[in-house]
Amino acid sequence: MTAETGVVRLEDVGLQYGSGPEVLRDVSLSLETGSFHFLTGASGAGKTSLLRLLYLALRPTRGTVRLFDRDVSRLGRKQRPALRRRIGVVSQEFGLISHLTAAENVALPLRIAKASAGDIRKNVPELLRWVGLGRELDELPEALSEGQKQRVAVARAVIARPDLLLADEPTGNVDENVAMRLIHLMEELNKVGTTVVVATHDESLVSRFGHPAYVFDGGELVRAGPVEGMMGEQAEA
Amino acid sequence: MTVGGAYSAGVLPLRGDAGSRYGPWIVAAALFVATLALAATMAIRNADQGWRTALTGKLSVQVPAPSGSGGEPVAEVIALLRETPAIADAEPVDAAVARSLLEPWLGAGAEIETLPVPALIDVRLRPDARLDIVALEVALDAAVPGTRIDDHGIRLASALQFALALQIFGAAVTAIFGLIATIAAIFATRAGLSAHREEIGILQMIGARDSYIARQFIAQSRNFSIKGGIVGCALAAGAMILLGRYAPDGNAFMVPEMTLSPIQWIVLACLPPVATVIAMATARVTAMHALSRVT
Repeated sequence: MTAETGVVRLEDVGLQYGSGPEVLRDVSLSLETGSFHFLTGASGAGKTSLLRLLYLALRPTRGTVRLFDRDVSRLGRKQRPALRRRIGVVSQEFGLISHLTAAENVALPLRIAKASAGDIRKNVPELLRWVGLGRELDELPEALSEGQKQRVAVARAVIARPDLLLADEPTGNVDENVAMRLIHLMEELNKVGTTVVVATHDESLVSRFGHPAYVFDGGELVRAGPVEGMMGEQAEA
Repeated sequence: MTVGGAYSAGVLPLRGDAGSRYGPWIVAAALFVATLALAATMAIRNADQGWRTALTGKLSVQVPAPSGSGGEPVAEVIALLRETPAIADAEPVDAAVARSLLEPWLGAGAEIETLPVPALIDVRLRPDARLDIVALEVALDAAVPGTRIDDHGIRLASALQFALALQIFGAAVTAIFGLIATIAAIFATRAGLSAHREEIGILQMIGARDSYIARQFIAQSRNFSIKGGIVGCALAAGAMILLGRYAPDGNAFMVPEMTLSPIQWIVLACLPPVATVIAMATARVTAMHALSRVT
């Protein structure tokens, strides 16, 4: 079996919705296994669109997107779910199923992956307690605050220990303390080999954790690399 | 705390959908009609076979009432018939039986003996024998003028043709209402797919296969088909029992007895499970087809 050389590899990727303007232009980047990256930039810079490409919700208009050494545009329909199971996603809208409780929502990836009932009963409450929702296990999403929904979404994204974790503004609706806990949770996952990509417009968050960042502007990747000095440059600009 | 047991909850909220609410009633109505139509088809088929068994290989001969002279015309005709090689037996119909056949038209108290009613002779043919009915009728008429042969085959042919038409009609009604139950599954699945597009997108994002999502709709169709099927068949069984109470005696008015064999009752009882399997298969095909068009 050939070892995977990179989790994500984009080559000259362009994306447009329908006949509108390109929201991503000539994006090329590579994420190695076990790396932790921030995607940053102003609203509308293309961060969310890039993440949607990565979790196979969209197809690129041009260029190549490779995930786990596989060209996603050549993937058959039946091959896509298996690839998606290797990816944990925290979307901006949380993506919780309204008639399922917090625990049931978090259990979904395990149920889909046919995990045993024992594993589900053990791991789901444990993780929800870890993100501070031990008392909300049986609450429906409508009874949760925005921040609590955010934490449920994060818990669901990491419960099956994905190879790639994509988080779109995961700290947008939580207080600083919870935000730190969530990023630390992602770092813990990263330490055991999960590649993490966090899209955020919160520059202080990017500065505080010091992971390399890709900076987007108007659909283009304008800077890449270590965060030191980058934010200062941006501020000057 | 429900953690543990609750993880078996359906991942799509299909219970409140229009399909789940109206599906059982549509299936119940469809199965009610389909069950009655199939029962009628099978009963007519039984009657058809009864007619064939009862009337094939038989003839009736009518000998006019004696006009006062000329000896024993019935005995003369019977003797002639028994001499015919193709005929196995010829017996006069008992006067009491003949009276009972006329009672529905003339009433129980009628003095039939005073009426010029022709005598009847039952004739049984030899199996595989060929009988020239025209020649025989000419010979009988020559012996006893006015004697007529009633060939059941002619009436039987038209009755069997009508029975066949009824069976085809019954089978068509069964098929149409089976189709309605199938359409209910298509409607429920398509409505559910449309109403829960967002949840389906979430499941796909998490890595659910199309077959996993389709299973939610298969379960929905299974549930409402079982409920509707049981209700529809139970109502049909009740209707059949009720109709059975008012059905005329099998020997009266030439109406054949409409009964079902134990195997045919089992066939009727199989309708709900068969409808359920068809609904589940339909839901699967519908869901898989629709999901294949989504990214």
